[in-house]
Amino acid sequence: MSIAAAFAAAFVGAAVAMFALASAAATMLGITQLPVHWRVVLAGTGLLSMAVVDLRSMLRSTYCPIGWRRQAPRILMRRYHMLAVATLWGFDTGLLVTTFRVAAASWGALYLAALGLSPQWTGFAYGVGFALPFLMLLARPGLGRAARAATPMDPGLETMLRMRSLIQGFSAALLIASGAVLFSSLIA
Amino acid sequence: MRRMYTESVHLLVRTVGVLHLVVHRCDMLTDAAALVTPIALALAFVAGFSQLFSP
Repeated sequence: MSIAAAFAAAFVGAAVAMFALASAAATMLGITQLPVHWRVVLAGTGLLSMAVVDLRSMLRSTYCPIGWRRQAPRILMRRYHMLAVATLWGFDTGLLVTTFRVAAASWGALYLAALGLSPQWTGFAYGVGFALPFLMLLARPGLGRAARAATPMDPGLETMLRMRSLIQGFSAALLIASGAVLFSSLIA
Repeated sequence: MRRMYTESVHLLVRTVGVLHLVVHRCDMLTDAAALVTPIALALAFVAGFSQLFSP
C-alpha cells in the first residue's frame, strides 16, 4: 500500500505542478490581460473541437490522438527499488503531457489553465480525480485475489480498458456541455 | 459501435438542449467569469478519472 500511496502522491504532485505552470505561463505571456470574453470564446471553441477529437477516438476505437504516445517504462521495475519506480511512474503520468491520454478532457482542462481561466490549484482536482478511485480500486478484493492466485487470473483491468469508449463519450459530452454553457453565457 | 455512436449523439443533443434552457432560465448562468471555474474543475476531475483507463 505504501507503493500505491507513493504513486498516487507523485501523480497529484505532478498534476498540481503542471497546471500551476500552465497558469503561470498564461500570466507571463500576457494572456490573462486579454478581455475575459475573448478568452471565453477561445475556450468554448477549443472545448468543442476537443469533443470532436473524443468522438473520433470513439469511432476509431483508439486513445486520444493528441499528445505523446508513450507510457511509463516498465523495465525500470527490474533495475530499481519499487518505491522509487512507483514514485517516478506517478510523476510521469501525472504530468499530463508525457504519456497517453485516454480522453481529450485532459487537454480541455489544461487549455483552460493556459487561457488563465482556471485556478492555479486545478491540478489538485485532476490529481484527486485519478488518485482517489485508484486507491479505492486497489482496496477491492478482486485485485487482492488476483495477486494471491496460483494461476493467472484477470483482476478486472481488461474490463476497465474495454470501458475506454464510454469514458471518451462522457468526456465528449462534458466538453460539449461546457463549451455550450460558455457560449450561452456570452449570448444571454 | 454505430449504435453506441448514435446514442451518444442523441445524448449530447439532449444535454445541450437542456443546458440551453437552464442557462436562459437562470440568471446566475450568464456570468462567464463565474462559470468557468466550476467547469474547469469538473473537466480536470473527469480527465484525471479517465486516466484510470489508460494502458
